[in-house]
Amino acid sequence: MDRRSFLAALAAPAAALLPGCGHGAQSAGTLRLAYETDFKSLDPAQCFDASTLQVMRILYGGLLDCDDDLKLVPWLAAEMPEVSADRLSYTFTIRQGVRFANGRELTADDFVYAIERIFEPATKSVGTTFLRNLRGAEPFGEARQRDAEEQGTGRRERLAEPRRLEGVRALDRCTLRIELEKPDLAFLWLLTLPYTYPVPREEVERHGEVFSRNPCGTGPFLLDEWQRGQRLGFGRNPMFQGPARPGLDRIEMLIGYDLMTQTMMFERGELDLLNIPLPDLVRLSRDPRWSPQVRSLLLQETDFLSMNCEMEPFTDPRVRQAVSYAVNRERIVQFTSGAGIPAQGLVPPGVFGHDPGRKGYGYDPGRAKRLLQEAGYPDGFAVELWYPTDVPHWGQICQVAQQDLKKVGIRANLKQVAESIFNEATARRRTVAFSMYGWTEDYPDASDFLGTLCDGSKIAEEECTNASFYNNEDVNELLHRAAVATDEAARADLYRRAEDLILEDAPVCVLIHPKEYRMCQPRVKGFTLHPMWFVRYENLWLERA
Amino acid sequence: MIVRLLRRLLWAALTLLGTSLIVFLIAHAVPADPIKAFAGPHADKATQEALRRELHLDDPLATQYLRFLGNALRGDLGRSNVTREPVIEAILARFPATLALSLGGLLIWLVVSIPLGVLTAKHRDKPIDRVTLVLATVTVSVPTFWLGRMLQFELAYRLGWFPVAGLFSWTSLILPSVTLGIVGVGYYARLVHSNMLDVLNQDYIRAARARGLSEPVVLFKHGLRNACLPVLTVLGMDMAGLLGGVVFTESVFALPGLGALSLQAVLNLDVPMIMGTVLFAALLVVTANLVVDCVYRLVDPRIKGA
Repeated sequence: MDRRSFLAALAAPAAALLPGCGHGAQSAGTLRLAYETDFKSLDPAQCFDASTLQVMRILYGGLLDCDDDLKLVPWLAAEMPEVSADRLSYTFTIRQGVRFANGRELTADDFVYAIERIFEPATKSVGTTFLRNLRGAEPFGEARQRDAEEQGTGRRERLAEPRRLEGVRALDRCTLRIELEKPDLAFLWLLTLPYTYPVPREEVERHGEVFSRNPCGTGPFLLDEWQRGQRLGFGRNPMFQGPARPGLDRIEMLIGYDLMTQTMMFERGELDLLNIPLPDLVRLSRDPRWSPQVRSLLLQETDFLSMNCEMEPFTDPRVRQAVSYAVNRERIVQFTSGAGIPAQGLVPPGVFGHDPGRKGYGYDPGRAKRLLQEAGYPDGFAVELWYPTDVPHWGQICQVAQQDLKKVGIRANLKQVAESIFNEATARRRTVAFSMYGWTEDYPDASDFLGTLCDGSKIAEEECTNASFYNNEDVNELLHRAAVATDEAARADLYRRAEDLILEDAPVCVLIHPKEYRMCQPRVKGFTLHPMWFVRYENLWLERA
Repeated sequence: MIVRLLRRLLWAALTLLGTSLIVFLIAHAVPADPIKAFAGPHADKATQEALRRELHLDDPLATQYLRFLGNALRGDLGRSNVTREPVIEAILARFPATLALSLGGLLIWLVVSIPLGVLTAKHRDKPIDRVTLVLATVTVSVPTFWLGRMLQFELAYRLGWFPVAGLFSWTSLILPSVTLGIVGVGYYARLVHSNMLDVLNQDYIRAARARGLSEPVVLFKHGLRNACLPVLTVLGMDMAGLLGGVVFTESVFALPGLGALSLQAVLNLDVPMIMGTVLFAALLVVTANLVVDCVYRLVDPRIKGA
């Protein structure tokens, strides 16, 4: 920052002191909302949290989208892809006339560039985890790692072979072919994630490391203001070629406002949308002024107590089952003012592989006591129950579970820790015996839940997503067979059988599938909640007074 | 005088050095990996290692600290591990809001507490003195975040007199400044009060009254000037407390200042940003102390030659 910009920044509060500026002077077409924390990056390759995902949709687009019924539909693709008989090759035709915000027309090469870019260490993308099944992804990724090690930081040449990612090719300007190593019926869902969204090479190279602050996509809006930690402004993208023009002139996102402050601002009319905090849900739902504005959505997420199968006393399945019988899920829902619905299994409703007829563990403290007695714990035991700070209502859930567990003799001492410490400790082997955990879908498929949370073959010393360190050869076998199955019914059956075995072994005590509650001002129209995107800003418009 | 100033500056530099070392060690003692906090739950090992190399977090701690120190001496506090923006730019962009809030709070401290202290000293053991004593005890005991939230709830949310949060107009600064100010008012009012009681018993005050000077002149010209000297000393030391209050106040009222920036840096385990904000705050406190020291010498002729 030079002297002039510093003086300008110094003058900003002074300018704000002038009467009549800013506050309360929203234009009719501006939607205003607030977030607690700022976005780390607006580069689709670096996106991994839910709030950034929503902003990605404003700025960018992908080959495929998912509609209200969670069905895949073409987005930047002109139609659904041609799929080879062996389910290894997908051929897409790119929609013509689509332009980036810089005016340049979108081509199939832009997808190739975007996907190859994910594997460059300099991109710092987490998307490689999802795209390992692309043909040639492993040698291509290793080659880029070697380049990075030999050439250091900054701009690098591709010297190590292979220089191109074999499984992603542009056949011509409008035709893209993607090939896989192994068949994967969930693969098309991965194309809805931001990691494959096309980015213009010229803008990425022009901005370098700060492309994350200068997004340029094909979406309905473009970023025209980003005061770090203060606000983001999105104006209409004049180059946008979609089915309909967005109804909003502008979106303003205020940063640094906690949920309590957001609620007060919303009720004073200073915000247009609100993510309702659970403590305010009952009050707002009963208020005749606000109740028509409340929308709810069952999240594709499962919250559960994770029991480390490698640590005493949870090495014994009877102890784990006792925990599952001891916790009253209905009471959790009541106590948290409707944080969700009681869960019967790990795979939530709406996700491929969910078994609607599943009857999970009921509330049966008597049976829990008997199981503990059989396991050699007639007087119960004491254990620390870890939970992170970042989910406000998890503390309440843990308190209810603590009370229920106490009734059968399990003395759970609650231990709240910072999110970063929690994530690291629970993912490290033989470190945390008992923890509150939750998993939200990356894409609506059972593989994202069972494969991620319960595949024993993926157990690692550190950074293990199987936080229960649960390892059952039969389950692993079923999960591996399901991952490559090409028949949908057979695949669903394999996942159902795997989930049966998992729930019987009870490495997790499933609690609830959470719900999301949001509301809008009466002047905001077209507001519905989408299971994957939550808010689709391009569908909103404001009723002028 | 110059030697004394140089000695002060040397102590200030040592204070900053010590602060930077302590903060650096604390930031690295936290049992969590900043790379994982940045890259998210899906980042694989190779990506994490690439990031670690890129950000030089694989270097020994001593190397990292010395590199930070060397760059800091050249005015470069590095780049945020999370946003990659230069730390100094982020700090300077947020400083105006913090400065405006601190000055607002300080103004209320002084403008309210000094007349109140003088008034209660003049009317010792009268109802106004007793009421002020109770209020002072309450305001000193009230946590900043609670007071801020209550003022926000009653005056902004329920009555609508002020904006709830954010920095949109001059009215946005009133509630945060009052929050910050109230906490100091009670303490400083009692400080001025007790100093004034001492001063008012001095011979020169009796002499001033005997010369027929009006009571305001006696109180404010002859009394207050002497009573304020200890206040000035405490004020210098309280700068750190003021900045601490700013962190909570900015957080409650969503003001885009240094407090919010440092809080976010801590949550993200963004070590360069943590180091930068703490060092900058330490610099402010050290500078304020130096200024108070100089002003003290100007105001009190007795210590000029000391």
